Amino acid sequence: MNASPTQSADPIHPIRNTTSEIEQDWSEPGFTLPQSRFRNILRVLKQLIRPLKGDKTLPTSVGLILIGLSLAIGIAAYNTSSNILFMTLSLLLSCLILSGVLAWMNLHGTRWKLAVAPRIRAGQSTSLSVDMVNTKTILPTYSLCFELKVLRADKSHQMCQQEGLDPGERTRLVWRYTPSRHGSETIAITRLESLYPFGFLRKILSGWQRQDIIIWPKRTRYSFQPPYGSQWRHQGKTILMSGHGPELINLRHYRPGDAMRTVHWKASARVRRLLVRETSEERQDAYMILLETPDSLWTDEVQFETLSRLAVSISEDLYTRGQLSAVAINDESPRPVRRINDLHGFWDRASTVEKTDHYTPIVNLQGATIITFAPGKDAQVDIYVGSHHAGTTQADHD
Amino acid sequence: MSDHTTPGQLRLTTIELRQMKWMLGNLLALVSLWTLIYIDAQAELLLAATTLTVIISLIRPGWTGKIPRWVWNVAVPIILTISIFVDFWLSMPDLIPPLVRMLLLLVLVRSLQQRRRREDLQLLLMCLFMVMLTGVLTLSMSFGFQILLFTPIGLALLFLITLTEPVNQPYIPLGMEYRWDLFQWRPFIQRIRMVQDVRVVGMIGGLFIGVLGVSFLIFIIMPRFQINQAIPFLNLSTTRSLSGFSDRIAFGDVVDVQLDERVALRVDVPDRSRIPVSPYWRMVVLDKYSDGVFEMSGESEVTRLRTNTYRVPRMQRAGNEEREIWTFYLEGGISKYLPVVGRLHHLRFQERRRFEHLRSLHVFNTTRISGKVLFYQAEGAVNMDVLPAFTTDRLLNGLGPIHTSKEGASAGTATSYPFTTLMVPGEAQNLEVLDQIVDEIMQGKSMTPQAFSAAVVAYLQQRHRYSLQVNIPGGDQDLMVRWLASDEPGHCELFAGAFTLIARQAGYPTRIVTGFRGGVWNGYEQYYMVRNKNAHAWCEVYDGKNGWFRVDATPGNDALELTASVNSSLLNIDLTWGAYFDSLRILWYRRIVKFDQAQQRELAARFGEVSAGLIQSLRGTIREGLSNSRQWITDFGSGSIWTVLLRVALVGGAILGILKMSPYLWQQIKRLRNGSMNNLDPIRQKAGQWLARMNYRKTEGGVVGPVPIDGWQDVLSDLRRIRYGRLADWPEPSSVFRQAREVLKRARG
Repeated sequence: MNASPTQSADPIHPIRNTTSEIEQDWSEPGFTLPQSRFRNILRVLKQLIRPLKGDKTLPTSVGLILIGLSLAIGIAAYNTSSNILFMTLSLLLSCLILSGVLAWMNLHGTRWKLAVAPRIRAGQSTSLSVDMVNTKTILPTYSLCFELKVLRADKSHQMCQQEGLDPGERTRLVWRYTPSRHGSETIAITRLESLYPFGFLRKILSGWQRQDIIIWPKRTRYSFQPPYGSQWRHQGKTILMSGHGPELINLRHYRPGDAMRTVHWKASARVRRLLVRETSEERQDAYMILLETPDSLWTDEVQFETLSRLAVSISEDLYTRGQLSAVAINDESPRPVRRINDLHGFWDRASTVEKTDHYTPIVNLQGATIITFAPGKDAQVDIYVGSHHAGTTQADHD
Repeated sequence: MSDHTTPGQLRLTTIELRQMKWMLGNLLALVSLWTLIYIDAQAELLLAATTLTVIISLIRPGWTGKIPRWVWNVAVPIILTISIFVDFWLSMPDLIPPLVRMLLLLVLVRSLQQRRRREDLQLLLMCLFMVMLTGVLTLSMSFGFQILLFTPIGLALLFLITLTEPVNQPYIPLGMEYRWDLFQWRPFIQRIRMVQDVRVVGMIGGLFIGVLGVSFLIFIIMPRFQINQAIPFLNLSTTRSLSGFSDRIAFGDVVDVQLDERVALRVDVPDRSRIPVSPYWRMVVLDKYSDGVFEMSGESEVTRLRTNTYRVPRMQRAGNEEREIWTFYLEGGISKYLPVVGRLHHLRFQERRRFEHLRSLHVFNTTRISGKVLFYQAEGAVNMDVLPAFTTDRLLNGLGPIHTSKEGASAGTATSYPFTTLMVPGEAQNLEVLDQIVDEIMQGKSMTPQAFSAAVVAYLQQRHRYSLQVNIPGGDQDLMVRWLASDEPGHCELFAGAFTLIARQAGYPTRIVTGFRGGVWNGYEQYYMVRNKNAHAWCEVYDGKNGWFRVDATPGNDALELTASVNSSLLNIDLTWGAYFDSLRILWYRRIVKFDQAQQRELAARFGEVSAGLIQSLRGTIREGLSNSRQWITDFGSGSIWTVLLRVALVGGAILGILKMSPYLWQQIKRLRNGSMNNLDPIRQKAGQWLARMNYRKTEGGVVGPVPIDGWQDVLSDLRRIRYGRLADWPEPSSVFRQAREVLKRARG
């Protein structure tokens, strides 16, 4: 299964996810709809009495003081029939109303969306961002705070605008996050709140965006000494792998370390990027990684996690050396690894693989040397090339 | 961190915003200090020092940053605590002056500190409290301006607090937040001018006007009902009054008041013709005399009440015109005695209050001198020629003068009211002069009290001119007697006092009354204005039968105003600038300070009447229009053939026009209903319009589609990107529109 990152609309506020035929992934407060102005006015008036579901307006400490003050002034005004106090009370109440109106205007033209890389790596700091745009024509947007939550890890972070956002401008609020565990994860904007303009009231909108991502496992240290000897080469069986043969099989982007003589200058001039030739070569030391996850074998959770890390680490290293021919998980057919996307696809599956209680192992896997894994001593995981023990994981010094 | 994908406009940095926030806080402090000018809190020096310090801190904010932290953390709290505690202790039970002084000190401290959010909010609250307190205590019209100034500054301060100190901001130590070392006024103002957007300023102005409008609406609509539990704290009283209106007047007291040009009393009179040309506003009746001092004996029948409406006993309603209500606005600090014009049968206050009615003297007074304007209404007020006698006044019939000495009256002599109205200083040197004058006036004949009074007034006015500058010769005799014996000029006190002694010596009970005389009519808001300089003293003489008639012995006045002469054409109408500004004050009192349930009902009723009138008028217009149309249709076929043909042509033309316009109209209606175009970005909308023009170009042969001219497809694709694409992918819109225009021109050519 290709675990591709998905974005989904908020089930409570589908309207919070836009609306524009191009900018499908932007969310907005949902105060108005693409309908006639008259209907929108009615909608806004209705929201004054009955806010959208999940929206809240709570007083802050300043707001509570203001409410208390208004009550005290009101009581004193009625006690003394002093019109000075009535005047002050009416000014305070109209300031509260103004606060609500300005808060509405501040939110009204604002759009936001999650900007998260679909795949990140455990143990590596990554940016989880929220992009904001102010589509108003005159007024800036101030003082918005987004709560970003990593659902499975149950971590949340509040990101606030530090400066105003002028009309037509965009900005990005960033949270540097280091995931600790691999697997599938969901990043969500759970709420948007604002104290604008006077800090009396905390306006909370509950509409949210979410994005499912894959967190690849962190690299692990391991030792790998594949066996040598002719019995480990498939007689007559050759595998065409990328190497230095005559036959051109692929043009790919330049990677640091590629020889300059492999650069395909004509193609590079056409696309204005360096492209190198990948030619075939008979290789007899390409490996295929078979990742098997029977729950009868992998009873220790720590070892199982280390298994994923190891599978990803070793596949990365083999691919870099051009020695990775194919990958397979459990009973799926081996998938050739020719491009980086193939490798990433394997990583996606390895990150989210679950233990299985039943599968039919692949018996006849020909044409490649197969790497498998098994639990080792303590919390280690052993690497096998065929039936030969070829390495093991080592302790990470984090 | 933020990453702007398009270049933003200029904006103030966080430091500049904080500096602006600090200055707004100090401006707010200045506004609240301004309000304290109107309160007598015995803190003039402290107020002046605080104001000066705050102004200097605004001009040179940098020096406040040089005050070391230990001052704020240690010295200030200790000094404040001790001084506030001691001040309250010494001022008890009077709470308001020490409260005001405490607020002054706290505002001073907060204004000079490098404030954070909590301190800013404290300053805001304290300033609001000061403005409100002063407004409630003084009811001053300037409260309206102060609160109008306070509101936008306060809101701006709150806004900047929200901007500069969001919840998640990391703590920055004090002293680093403001960077006053880098501050200069000129670049700061230039920066503000650079970043401001006229449209935003305009919108903010509009919103503020909206706030005022909504606030006014809430003020009008808010239900008023009387609970009548006056909070004593909010009743500012003062022990000082203009001494001319107290129950003890020494020589010169009334004259001192006459030097004051301020308005003391305003009177709303429903019918201008009811007010006399020169009304006498009675306040204090002084019956007892001793050694140059007139005072109220204080022993008359007193009714003490705490109420907001009082029916005056023994005052009968004479007719319908006496149902009218006069509203009095007596400025604070004048007197506890209420000026009334004569007779009245109901007295009303805005709220319940303690007051006294000295029935035998027909004097009304509150128990304390109010520090703020006092409203009261007199129903059935009539300028009286003769004040009815009280029952005890009959005891005076047949009595002669009661001679007293410095040691007091002789044993067995009654010294309480009403007998005090016959008391005369009994020393031989005084009696000699008085007897001589009485003999000279009466010449052995018997005279009615009125005739005698007129004669005494003539006598006095022959011998003495009017002057405020008086020089009374010295001697053993009583002060009044010495003046009588001389030919020195005198003022109203001397004329009234002298008249009183002469009349009493002749056996006519007489008492002095102080109050106001005259005033001017304010031509702007149609009310009566009485100034302090209208303070006056006159006499009332008991006629032995009906009651007490007024005698004004001072030259320039009608001696005996025995008829309540009213002639509005002779009223002195004031249309000066001073009168105009005073009319603003009466508007403030009438419309704002005195706004109550009755006025609310009246406003609602008037609103109803106006609305009903509008609806009626609209109905009438519609009916008339329909009737005219009917008539026109009825007459359609009448008249000459040409008239009929013309009518047919007009109607036919109108129908054709409607049919022709209807698709366009229908499109506009649909657009309004769907609103799709209205919600679009205007640039996208314009791109859509260009697309429509380029896609569907009209020629002589009809409508054609896109034309294969060089550049046509490129322009089309750019327009589609603007109309439907993402903002980041847009080409420069103005250049695309220009190209579209050129391409269309070429296609036409």
